[in-house]
Amino acid sequence: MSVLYLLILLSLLLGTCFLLSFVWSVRSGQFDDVETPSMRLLAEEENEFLD
Amino acid sequence: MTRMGTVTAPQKPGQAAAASASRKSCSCSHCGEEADGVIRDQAGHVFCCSGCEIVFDLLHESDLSHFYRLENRPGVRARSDIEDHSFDYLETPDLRQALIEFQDETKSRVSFRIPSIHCLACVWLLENLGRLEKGVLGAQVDFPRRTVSILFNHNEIRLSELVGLLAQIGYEPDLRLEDASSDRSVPSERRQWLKIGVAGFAFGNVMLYSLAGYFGLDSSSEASFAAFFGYLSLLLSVPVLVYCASDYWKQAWNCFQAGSVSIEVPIALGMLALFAWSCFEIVRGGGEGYLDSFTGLVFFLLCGKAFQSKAYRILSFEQDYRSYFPLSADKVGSGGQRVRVPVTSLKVGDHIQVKHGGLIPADARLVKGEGLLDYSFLTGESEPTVAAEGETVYGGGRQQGGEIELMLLKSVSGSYLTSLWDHPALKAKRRARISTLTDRLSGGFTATVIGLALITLIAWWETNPGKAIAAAVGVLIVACPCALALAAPFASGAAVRSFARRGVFLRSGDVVEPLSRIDTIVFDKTGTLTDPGGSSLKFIGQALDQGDRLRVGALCSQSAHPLSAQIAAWSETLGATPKVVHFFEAIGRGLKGTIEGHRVVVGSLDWLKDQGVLVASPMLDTCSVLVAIDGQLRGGFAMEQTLRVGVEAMARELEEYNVIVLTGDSRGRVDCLAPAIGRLEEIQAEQSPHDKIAYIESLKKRGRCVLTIGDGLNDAGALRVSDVGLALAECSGAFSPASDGIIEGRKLATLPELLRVAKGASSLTRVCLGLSLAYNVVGITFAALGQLSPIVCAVLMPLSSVTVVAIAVGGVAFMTRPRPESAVLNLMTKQEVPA
Repeated sequence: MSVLYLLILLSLLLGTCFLLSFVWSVRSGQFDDVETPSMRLLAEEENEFLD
Repeated sequence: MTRMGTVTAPQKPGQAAAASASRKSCSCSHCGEEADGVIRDQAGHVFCCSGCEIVFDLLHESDLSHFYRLENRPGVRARSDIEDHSFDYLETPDLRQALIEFQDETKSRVSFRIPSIHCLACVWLLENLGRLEKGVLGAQVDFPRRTVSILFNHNEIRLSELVGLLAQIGYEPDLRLEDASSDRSVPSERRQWLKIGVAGFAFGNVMLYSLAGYFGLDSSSEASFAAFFGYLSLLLSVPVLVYCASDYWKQAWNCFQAGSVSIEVPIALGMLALFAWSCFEIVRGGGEGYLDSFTGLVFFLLCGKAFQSKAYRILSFEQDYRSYFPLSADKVGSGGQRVRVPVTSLKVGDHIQVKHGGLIPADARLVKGEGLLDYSFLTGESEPTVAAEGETVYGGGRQQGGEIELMLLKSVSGSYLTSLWDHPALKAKRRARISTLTDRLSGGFTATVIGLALITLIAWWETNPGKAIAAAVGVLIVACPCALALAAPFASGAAVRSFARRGVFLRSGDVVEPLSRIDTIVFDKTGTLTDPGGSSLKFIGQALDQGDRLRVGALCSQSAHPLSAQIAAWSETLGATPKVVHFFEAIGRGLKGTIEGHRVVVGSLDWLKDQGVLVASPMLDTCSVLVAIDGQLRGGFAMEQTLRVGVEAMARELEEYNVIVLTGDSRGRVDCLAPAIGRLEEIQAEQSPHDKIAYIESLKKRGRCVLTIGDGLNDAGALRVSDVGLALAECSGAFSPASDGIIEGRKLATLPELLRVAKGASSLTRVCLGLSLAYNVVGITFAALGQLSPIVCAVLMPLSSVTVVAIAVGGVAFMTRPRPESAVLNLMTKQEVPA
């Protein structure tokens, strides 16, 4: 059962990585505007290979 | 569409008829506005103006034709009067420094507010600006804010050229005086997101560790595990306590110092009890603590706050005169040449030129031209003021006639308009927050909880001192008013969202509750009840026959004065214009001339008296232009303002409120309102901005709860001192004075429905508050009996919060669901109000 100590610490470490990436994404302004990216996606020009 | 009016040259009726007969009217291939078909290219594209044609060609040449595939005719009508050096004033070091956000040897970044961004194609075009101009390295549009952030190589394209390019393709940045002194701080939304993220992370993990305890991780056989989970939870809770909950500590401390109690006080008390007791249990090794409830509480509270404070980022509720003034003015140099300069660099004695529709930046003397100044935004007077050469004009007025030249008498910051901001009511910091129902409840709540905790302590002390402390702390823990704190934010947050769908944008959810208590509504007249674009000319006096009408029109068509032009247009449709002989115009006073043998005199009262006309008719007081034919006074023209669509119906629905109209306009122009508005408590005319403030303050002293609705700078003070002040704006993003909320002008008629929704939302809040109190009674009973275990707490807290949130949000959604008849809503809210 003592392997649980290791696993729990690892899970916490993994979670912390995600938390830090979230902090980074907020700090770099990715949450400042959550509307325009959805428009940008629709505004893509047609891919010439698909024509 | 005022912008159409300024560009399209007025056509003679005959010409227009001929044109429409030969070609079908069609819409411009670039901007979609009506085009007469005169300008068309070889491929058959039609344009409304040459500006649009140039942009259309430019985009096709630059491989940007995808723009026209994204939306149907998405362009913005291009301005044709942009000159090469129109924006050179931006190169002044001070302004450059204020506008440029970041700069290194080759690159600069700048952000512009561009109100004309309106669709997908705009976003795409602006973000692909680099294809049009290779100096642009990258661009990013923020659609909700209507801003674009551009990174450019300043060795290849100058800032002024960049702005010129944007203006040329129809996206002229909106540069205002406030931009010259803007500070850039980290947006508070980012902090909010971070706090929610950290709290959510801690909550999720701590809950998992606690679940192990709830599902039989027996602390006696696996003691080491329990301690491990306990310390891990403690570690995760520290950032929640210190960082995520920091606002609650601060606000509770402020309240404590001020000797008042708001909802933050019992929350802080509960959090403190939760954390301290959990620490004690974990360190002592006797239990797993309540840290899952603690982190969950903070997480839910932060979510509630985020829901309530949905920001409408295109709107600003704290604008002052600096956002009203443009950034630049046309200065006339000593040699007569015009240079565009920043408004801040203007000095007393400088000569400037103001075009038709332009704003006067500071108090000045009129040097050249004829002034017809619209001060309605400043004073509420609907009638434009005529100013002759040598007279003083005031900053903030809008020139309605032709071009004028002015000599500045005062600096921008010393002018009349800016002095309006010196009133103490406007200088005082906006009250930090409105005292809400929840806050008023908090005082009694906190006292009751502390009292119950003490009673529990004393009751248990005799039999079991150890359990006494645990039970008393348990009371404090379970009474932590999470659901209580969430009820109002979610109900008002949901109401704010439904308001926004109806074209009313509130500053925050805190406004909903005072809005539901309103008993008196004060309207401004000019621009609020009346339609700013819809003034019409009305003739008062002896009716003129068709011949006389044509003669008056013919005389006026000879003059360039804007009022004359309106009178000319009034009779233009009747027939062919007769010939005028012996025409004479006294600038700023009047006209005379002989038409078909009749001597016609048109102008001011003094002018008619000078011409020997006997004027003695009091009913013509409201007329700004009098008419005499063959020496006989026939009547006069009055500018009559039309009411906004739906105002009369709205007034009928507002019967239960005291309706008052305060206006800067003269008495004579106000009386016409009475029949339209119906039951009015009072009309006060000729009110200066300071009078309005005093009037509203006296209403409040009499115990009234006042809602003020106004649009102009003259209402700014009144909006501020009212319980709720709503500003009216013609379109979102246009200037409006500081206020608690912004209504779109054409949505004014929805006011009665909004007040009903506000009332419904605050009744719902009451229901939710009652419910959360009931949950608290249950919890406190458990705790006082010494039966509170972490699992009871862990179930009770989220359960109460979720039910309260569901009822609040669901209830408001149900009340405001789209329906054809607003009468149904009326019926329903009445039922929901508790007896």
